[in-house]
Amino acid sequence: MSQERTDGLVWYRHHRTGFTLPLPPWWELREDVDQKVAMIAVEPDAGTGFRANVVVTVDEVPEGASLSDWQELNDRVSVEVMTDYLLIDEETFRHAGRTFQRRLAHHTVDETIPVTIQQWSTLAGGSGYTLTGSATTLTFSQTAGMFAAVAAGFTVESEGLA
Amino acid sequence: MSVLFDRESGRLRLDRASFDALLAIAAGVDPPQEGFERVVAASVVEGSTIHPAVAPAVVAAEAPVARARLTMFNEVGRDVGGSIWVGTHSAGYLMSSGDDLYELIATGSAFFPASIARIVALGPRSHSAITPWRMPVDLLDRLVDTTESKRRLAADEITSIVDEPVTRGFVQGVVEGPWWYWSLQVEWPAAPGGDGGRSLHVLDTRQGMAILSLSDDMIAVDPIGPTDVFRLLTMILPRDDEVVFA
Repeated sequence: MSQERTDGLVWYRHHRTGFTLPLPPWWELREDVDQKVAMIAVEPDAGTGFRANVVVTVDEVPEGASLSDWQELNDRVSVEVMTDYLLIDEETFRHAGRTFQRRLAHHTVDETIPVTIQQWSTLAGGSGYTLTGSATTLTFSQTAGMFAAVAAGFTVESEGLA
Repeated sequence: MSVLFDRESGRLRLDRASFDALLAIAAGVDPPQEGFERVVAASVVEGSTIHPAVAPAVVAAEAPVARARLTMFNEVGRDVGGSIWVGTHSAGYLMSSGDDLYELIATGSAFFPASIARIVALGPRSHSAITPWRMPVDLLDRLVDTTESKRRLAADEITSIVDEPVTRGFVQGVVEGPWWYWSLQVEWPAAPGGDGGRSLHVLDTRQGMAILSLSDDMIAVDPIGPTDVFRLLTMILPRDDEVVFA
């Protein structure tokens, strides 16, 4: 990570997949966790349970699938894998020369923790890039601004996985 | 039967007297006989113990940190709503079911925003933003009347003030339906200098959503999307420094 911004976030670039975004430099960073999870940034452990986090995943997208096709597929998967998944909002917009889809959703973690997620997804070179910010629901108003700043700086330079 | 209880799922529908009996049991005082007999007969209470699927809701109602009232109605006059008590760890929702029975639902306190979102069917909507406008309270009353002709006259008055395509479409959507107008009011014993309450009023149509607020005896109507409605729901309960705990 390098180049601090005026909001305290620091630019980060993932070299293998070519995306860039700003992150809180005091968050714990893990890279290339598995084939799909390119990066996880997690807030420091304050002993309060769920830790807010930012995750970027890079998926192979079926050939010829549009962003909305891919997102519909992701929606069906989310309903299956996330407990009590509730889609609250979605919108499509242009950012940094690409079409993005933003989603806000709610789900339950470990049966007792309400978690709100914001996702920004885009396609590049046959791959699907998803930035997900997750936080406990009652802290959503505190984290939403930071997640929005991270998303505002999220760009995908690559034309797909190397 | 005025108490319907499914022990497997924990689903409970009951009348007000039976709910009052549960409250009395949670408070450790003698419950009213009529309601007590019903909750015992339905196995909601065994001995003096409330079934664990129901107890968190009753505990919250007996000693709430905050009380909430949700009211919803639509263009055909259907009313939905209920009383909600939010305790330290759990929340209880006593929701009207359109008949003499209420449904009592328990959740963790932190699930309050998501529970309200589910009840009001918060979900993706059009992001076309209306132009804000202000109107007298009685014009809002006529706009959300259950009689279409009254809504149409109110819409004509509004579009004579704000004649812009998105807003005209929104108002026309209110005339034609479907829509829901819902209000959530939350109150708590205020800490010194505090307000002791917050509220949220939303008009939800197929053409988008609007947030309504009282401003100088006028109703201010502003565009809002589901994300911001949910954000407000996450902020509507009192912070620890806003409330006096009993």
